[in-house]
Amino acid sequence: MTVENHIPEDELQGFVDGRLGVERVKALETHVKGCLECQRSLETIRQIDGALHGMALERTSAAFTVSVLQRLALSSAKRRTSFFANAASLFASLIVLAVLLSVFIWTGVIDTTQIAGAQLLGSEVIAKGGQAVSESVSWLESWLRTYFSFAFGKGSLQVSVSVVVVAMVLALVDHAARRRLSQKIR
Amino acid sequence: MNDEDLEIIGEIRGGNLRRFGTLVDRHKDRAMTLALRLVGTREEAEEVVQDSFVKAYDNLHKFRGDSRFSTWFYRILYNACMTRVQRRKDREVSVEGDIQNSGPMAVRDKRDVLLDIEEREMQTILRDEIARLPVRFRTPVTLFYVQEMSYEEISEVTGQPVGTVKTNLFRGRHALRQRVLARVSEENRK
Repeated sequence: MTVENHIPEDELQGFVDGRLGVERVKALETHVKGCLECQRSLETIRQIDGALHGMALERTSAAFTVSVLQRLALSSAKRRTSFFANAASLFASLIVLAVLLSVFIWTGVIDTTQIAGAQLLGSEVIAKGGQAVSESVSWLESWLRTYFSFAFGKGSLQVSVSVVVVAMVLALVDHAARRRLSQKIR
Repeated sequence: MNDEDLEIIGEIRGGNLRRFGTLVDRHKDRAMTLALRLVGTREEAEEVVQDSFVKAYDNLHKFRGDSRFSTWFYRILYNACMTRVQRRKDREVSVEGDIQNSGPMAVRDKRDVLLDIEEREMQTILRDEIARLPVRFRTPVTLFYVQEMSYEEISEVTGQPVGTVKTNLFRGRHALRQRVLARVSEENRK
């Protein structure tokens, strides 16, 4: 029998994989029974195929699953920390802005009558808003006068120092909050 | 298997992070096997499998359950491995010539030597020779035998057409058989 008459390798492989149609399987089985060459080729394919299917799986390290879960917990805690840190920073920034605004109003850099003058713009909403802003600013001004009286009327240096001190206190509070959260994560 | 994975995924989506550990346990060794075959070193393979599990968790809301979880997950893993392989500019020893120049006789001449080899020895030879295959053959061979995936599933994981998968798998198996037979007869001569 010549090589050309032998069953091609892809067909023998298809037979081993069980991918051939019934007719083709019958024809192949008949040929293989009478052909030593094809019998040996089929046996080789089966042997290597069997060994490949039986190959042992590679094992991960013992702490693999724990490491994955730790990484997941860490990344979700980081997301939470980042949210709280952003919220704390925003809150601190708003307070600093309010303090600065009050100081500027008190020192005369910003004229509150201009803000109250918004009432003259005609719209009732704007007028009410302007009035609320004006009232808030007045309240902040009186609050600052009560608690930070030492900083008022004694020159801009003391005003600036007061603002810096307030900002530093807020920054420290923010830093402490971040540290506490990162300790919690660990 | 798929139903059980879907049940676990439902619990994870319900907020039970610990159940993701169960999912990891179910797939980690097969994932490790694929990663090790593709990237080559144990440390790198473990790292890439971990990264893939983390990525799978982050994207779990995108898994719709149309395919098996393993198919979806191996696509993530396969892409991560390929990124590493390409970054390293994997220097493959091409077996293209071996495959094209060899007819069926190349296998037939050496086939009887297989009878003399022990199973453990065969496993070592197979592992070595799979590692030496070019990555385009190594991938379908590993997915087919280790992950027991169908042509269609391999196509889904690799993003290649089914025809390409069939061709690469055939050529990979053919090359592997030749290499194994050559190696075994060489071992027997020693």
